[in-house]
Amino acid sequence: MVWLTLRQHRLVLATVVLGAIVLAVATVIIVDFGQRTRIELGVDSCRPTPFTNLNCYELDQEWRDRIGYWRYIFLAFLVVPAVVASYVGGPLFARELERGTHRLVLTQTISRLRWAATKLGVVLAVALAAGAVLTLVGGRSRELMSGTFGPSGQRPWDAFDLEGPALLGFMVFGVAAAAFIGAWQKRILTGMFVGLLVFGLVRLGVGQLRPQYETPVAVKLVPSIPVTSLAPFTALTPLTPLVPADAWVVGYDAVDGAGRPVPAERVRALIDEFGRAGCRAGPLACDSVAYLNQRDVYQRQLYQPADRYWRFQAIEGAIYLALTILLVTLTLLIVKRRDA
Amino acid sequence: MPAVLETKALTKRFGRTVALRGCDVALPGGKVTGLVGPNGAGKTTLLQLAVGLGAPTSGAVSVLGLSPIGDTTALLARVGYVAQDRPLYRDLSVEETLALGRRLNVRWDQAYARARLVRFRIPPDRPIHSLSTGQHAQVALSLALGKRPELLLLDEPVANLDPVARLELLEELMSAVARDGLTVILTSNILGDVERICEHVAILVDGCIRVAGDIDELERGHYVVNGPRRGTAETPGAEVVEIREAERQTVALIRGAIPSAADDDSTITRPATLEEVVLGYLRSAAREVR
Repeated sequence: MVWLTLRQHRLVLATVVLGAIVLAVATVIIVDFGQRTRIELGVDSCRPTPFTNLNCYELDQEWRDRIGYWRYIFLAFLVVPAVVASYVGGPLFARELERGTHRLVLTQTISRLRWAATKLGVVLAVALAAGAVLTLVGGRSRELMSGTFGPSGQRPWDAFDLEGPALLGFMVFGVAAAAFIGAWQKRILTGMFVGLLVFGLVRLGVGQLRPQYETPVAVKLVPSIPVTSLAPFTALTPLTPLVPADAWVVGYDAVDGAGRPVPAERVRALIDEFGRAGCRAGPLACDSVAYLNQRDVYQRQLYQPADRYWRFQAIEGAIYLALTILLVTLTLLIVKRRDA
Repeated sequence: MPAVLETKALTKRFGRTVALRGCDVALPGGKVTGLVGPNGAGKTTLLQLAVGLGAPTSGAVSVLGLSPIGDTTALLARVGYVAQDRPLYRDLSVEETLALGRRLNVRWDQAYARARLVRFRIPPDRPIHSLSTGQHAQVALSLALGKRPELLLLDEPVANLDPVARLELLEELMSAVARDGLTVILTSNILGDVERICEHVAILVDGCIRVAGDIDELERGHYVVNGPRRGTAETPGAEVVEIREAERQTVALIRGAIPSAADDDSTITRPATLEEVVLGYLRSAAREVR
């Protein structure tokens, strides 16, 4: 049965694996080129001329021009799981059901469960293999966007969808979802397009949950310092950003002095009020944060620190794995129970 | 020989459509049986239930003494089946199609299956989609016969075939039956084919077996009365299957032994042909529905 599945789908499966390898190799080459070019041009070692940093900006522009649209190669890593889902998963059962060949194979000496489980097992394994190739370089593909290379350079969260358990999860989930819809609706096109749609919607839905996998770290916003009165306050209020550069800012909220949440409407109303009132005299008068603080409302920035990255990856991978198992089970049930 | 395919009050519904309604069937082993009936009579459904491609809504099916739902794989090892339209994987070559048979069946006679294809000069490396309809049908049949089944179920095996290919396939089937003594149940809309190769016929109308029997029995058990138009007198021990009244004459198909002498000179009484028997039952059923 493994032989038959590989034989039936050899073209599309070979395309998936080869496509993943080609994309991975292309990514390595282009990222390497980007990194070398950046060093050659000296973009990062650029010292701004007095009064302006235009010279450095132009160097960076030059670097961007040389790389061109290859900068967006990371988008391919977002598209591949969807394409694989549609082309591999959609027709997997639907083609047999549409052409009636399931009546041929299911009347050989083979049980329905073995048939369906083998088909799914083979294509999921191939999708996983392609995902494994992609995850090796998926994170690096994002470096061309940020212009920072190497392990220490970039913010890890930007690469979340492009690598690791999350990417592997997308690969298998997409195939399982489209296969299920194809098996259920018995139509190739339905499997391909509705499968794609479901994949996209679930990705969006789970994406909404992602910031909440763990309670975000909250940090209160501090009033900015009016330039005119900079000197006296420098010692009191830190100017450095309180959120680490490699963190993922997931949103804002507001609390009162006792730490109780303040509804967003109240914050909006206060800011409107502040806007109408305009700047008044005094060192902190022109700052909305200070204005809110004076009224016992403290806005907070919420973020996920970088050290949670792989834990979040594992959680997201587990979510998609669970969804995949659910869909595989449903597909097997449909194939086993339904009239053929 | 005991029945190879037996059903008890078998009912199968697809949504609101009833394909089989409380059907009792017992088709004999060791014979070639033709299932005939109009489109939608339930022939295909009956065969599909017999190989476990569907589950009965109610009632029971037993094939070779096994349940197609409970003992599917044990049954499939002994039953060959060619579905309607003779599905095969279009992209596979002929040789790969046989490999499929070899890999997916416990019992498989590669030499036998290959010899059949050689006999029909079907090149093994040709992809299925490039074969003629006749060759395609032969490959499908080879795949079913390669299992060396005890029972062969064929759904419209000669549909869409040209006369030469049709004859070749039927002759091939007949010789396989003669050589291996396998039981065949086939559905067909072509009565000539049924008459040529079947010994037993079951007439399915509207989801139920209307009448079944060996062909010569059916022919002997029915006769046709042709006479002037008038009410047909009841003949004791005989059942009128169908009466057709034209302007000036009446033709009736009667079930029962043919009377030894005609009552009067104005009627002609003669044995019925298979076609007359089948058409008589089909038409009378159609009239009842109306």
